[in-house]
Amino acid sequence: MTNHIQHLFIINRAGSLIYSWEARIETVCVLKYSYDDSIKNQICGRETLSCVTVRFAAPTVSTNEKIILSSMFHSLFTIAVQLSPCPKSSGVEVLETTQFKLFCLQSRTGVKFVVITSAASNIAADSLLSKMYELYTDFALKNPFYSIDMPIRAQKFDEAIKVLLEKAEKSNGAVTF
Amino acid sequence: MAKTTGILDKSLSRGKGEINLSTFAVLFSEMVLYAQNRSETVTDIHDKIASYGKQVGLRMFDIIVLREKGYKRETKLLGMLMFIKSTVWKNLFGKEADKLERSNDDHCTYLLIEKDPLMNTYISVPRDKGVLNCAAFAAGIVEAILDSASFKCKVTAHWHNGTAYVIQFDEAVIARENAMLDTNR
Repeated sequence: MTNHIQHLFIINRAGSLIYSWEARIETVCVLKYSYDDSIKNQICGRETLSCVTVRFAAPTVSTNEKIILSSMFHSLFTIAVQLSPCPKSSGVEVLETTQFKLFCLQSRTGVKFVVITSAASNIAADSLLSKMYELYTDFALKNPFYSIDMPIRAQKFDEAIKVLLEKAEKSNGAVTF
Repeated sequence: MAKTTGILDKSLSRGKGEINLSTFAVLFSEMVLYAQNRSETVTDIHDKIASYGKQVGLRMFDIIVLREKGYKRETKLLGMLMFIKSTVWKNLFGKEADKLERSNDDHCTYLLIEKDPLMNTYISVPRDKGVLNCAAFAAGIVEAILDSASFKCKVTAHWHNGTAYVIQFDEAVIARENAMLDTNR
């Protein structure tokens, strides 16, 4: 499935995770079967089931692990800036593997926006990341109940991210959102 | 000698009536934080934000009336409320308020309903402060305008159909209004 956005992270200036979003993709199987009348009563003694629903999903990463991974990424990012052969490197922007693609945008203030997509995705990640940055400045920074560098718990931010991701999934490689 | 038009000969320009929403949002966010740091209860925060709104209402009332209605003063209650709903809201927030209703049980209470007040655009209230509505700012503006127009009242903001501004007029105001309507018949 192309355009499959798997994870979204926002990492603050100190390297701790302040927002994470995970796509919940489930494959649902419905198995139908029928019983021989003679064994029907033996099994339940009442109306027997004739179908079972099985759900398959990728193993989920626990919140603790996400926090650890984010701080690890933060340190690796800083090391990459130092190791880069070009001076004034911008740090990790794209990390591609056979299983996934990771895109990162670091703002001027040091806040990192990370999106992880499936390997075959052709999504316009930089515009997605800059739109995420815009939503952060709107619904987190203009919210008087949000303290800077703390985890983001704003309902309007969650809704806006959801809308943005739905648009991104539908856009199919379009350049801007 | 050539006739030069100096700056004093030109008529006064109305000026740009719009500012950036982000600028206002950041300033308003700071105002809410300022009120919150100096208050103990949610009612206190509401009162403080409303007092900031009162300052705005006092100053804007004269200028809006002068610009929109010339030198005529609104004396009827309903007319004044409609003026606030359409003209004042349009001037301040760029859109009109949604509905104006009269309460069924209390003849002194009117309800001004707005689905999405401009100041709440970027504000998500956490669950432990669920009663707090930053539209208390607009409630303060409405109260100041009605007070200046000699319709004494109390205005509060509530979460109802979006945001509802409950306008509670004094008995004297309603009595005066009814007397005026009777004499006109």
